[in-house]
Amino acid sequence: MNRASIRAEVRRRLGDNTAFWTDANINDSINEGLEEMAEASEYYETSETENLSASSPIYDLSSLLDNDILRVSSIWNTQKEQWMQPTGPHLLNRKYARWEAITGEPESYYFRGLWHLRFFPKVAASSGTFTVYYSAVPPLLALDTQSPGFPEEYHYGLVEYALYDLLSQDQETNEALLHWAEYLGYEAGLFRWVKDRGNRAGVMGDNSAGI
Amino acid sequence: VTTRQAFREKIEYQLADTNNKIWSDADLNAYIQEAYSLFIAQTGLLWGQSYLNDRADTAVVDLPADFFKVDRVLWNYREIPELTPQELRFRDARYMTQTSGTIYGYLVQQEAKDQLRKYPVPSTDCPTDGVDTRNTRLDYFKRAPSLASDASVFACPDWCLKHIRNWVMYKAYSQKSLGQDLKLAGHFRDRFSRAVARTVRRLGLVDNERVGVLGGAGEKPRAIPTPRLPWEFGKIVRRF
Repeated sequence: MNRASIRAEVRRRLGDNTAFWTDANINDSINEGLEEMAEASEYYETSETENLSASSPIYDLSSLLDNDILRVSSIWNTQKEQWMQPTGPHLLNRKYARWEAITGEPESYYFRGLWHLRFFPKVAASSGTFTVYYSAVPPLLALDTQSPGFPEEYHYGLVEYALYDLLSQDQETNEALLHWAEYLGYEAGLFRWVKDRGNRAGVMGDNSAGI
Repeated sequence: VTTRQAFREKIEYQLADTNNKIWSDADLNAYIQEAYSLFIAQTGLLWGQSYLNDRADTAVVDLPADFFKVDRVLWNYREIPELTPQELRFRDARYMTQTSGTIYGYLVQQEAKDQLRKYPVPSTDCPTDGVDTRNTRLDYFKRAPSLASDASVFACPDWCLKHIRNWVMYKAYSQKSLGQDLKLAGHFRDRFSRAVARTVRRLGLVDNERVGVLGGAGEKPRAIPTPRLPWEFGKIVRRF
């Protein structure tokens, strides 16, 4: 479904023949639903390559990355061609009391707040790159021809969210909450799909899909 | 970048009260600031660093204006532990005047809420301000900046604004007025709590993604190896 067909479905379910709700109203609600589903399921995954810098050991990803970051899942060191290990200051303190003063090719990383990335060791010279794999809030649906980036089965979640959002604006509380409950079902379904869309459930000893 | 005014107008639209017949701008501004502060404090989303430059014979220093909570304190690249006044009284009764060229710890208890005490008192100035070498650095979680005017912008990404709005909706719908709707108020409160829990879980997930080694248990954080008092020092020990 594209944005136009999702909007048409919302309007049909609202019984809104008189265009009480404008297209812009409904589009806003659809996009808010898209953002909510993305945040809950982290379905939108992407990667970007950035330069290593010696000027500051802390990297502010909010200014480096193109998308609104939700969570970094892994980081690749392109020089060493290996994955960096997530770590934390407490673990590093155990090994090297003054680890912040050590320089070298980065092997591990940790985060502070949402955006502040720090590598260990820090680089001595500004050369080389690293690739960040992360989940993000996807670009919103700006055109009627655009579709959400997850399977159509869950597009109805956006319909339900828009209905909930519009009816709650109208203080049709009971109806709104009914659609919210429906939306949560789709959200949970998409969450499961993101985690289980491979064949992990078939691996012996792995019952993460609850099968 | 969203301004307070743009955000408030969006909420007024959501509340179907664009003419402020039920909720005034002042009411909504107060709820917005409350929600913003709450969300940032509960999630630890904003973080920063500041140098507490060492000055000879000055133990107590002011914390940054946006300080909320200590993450780490370092001296000369090394993390130093938080000490309590009780510990220090046993260790060094003159801890408030004892000077040294090396800082071993810090105190926040028994100090003003926006101050930190270095222990011992630095005997010399740091070589260079704003540099880690023989100097004290504070890593800290920030509080939400004040949204003082309609032109003030939010320091968090746009996806957080939806959660902040949910708290504002909760407050607005629970306010005694013609627009009161306690059922919707409760719903929006639940959504806010859910978003906080989700954000906190997500921020903590990086640690959980550490790759385990077959047969090896994950390393657990423990106190850094700094000199400590004997385990029973100054404590009442039960004897049988």
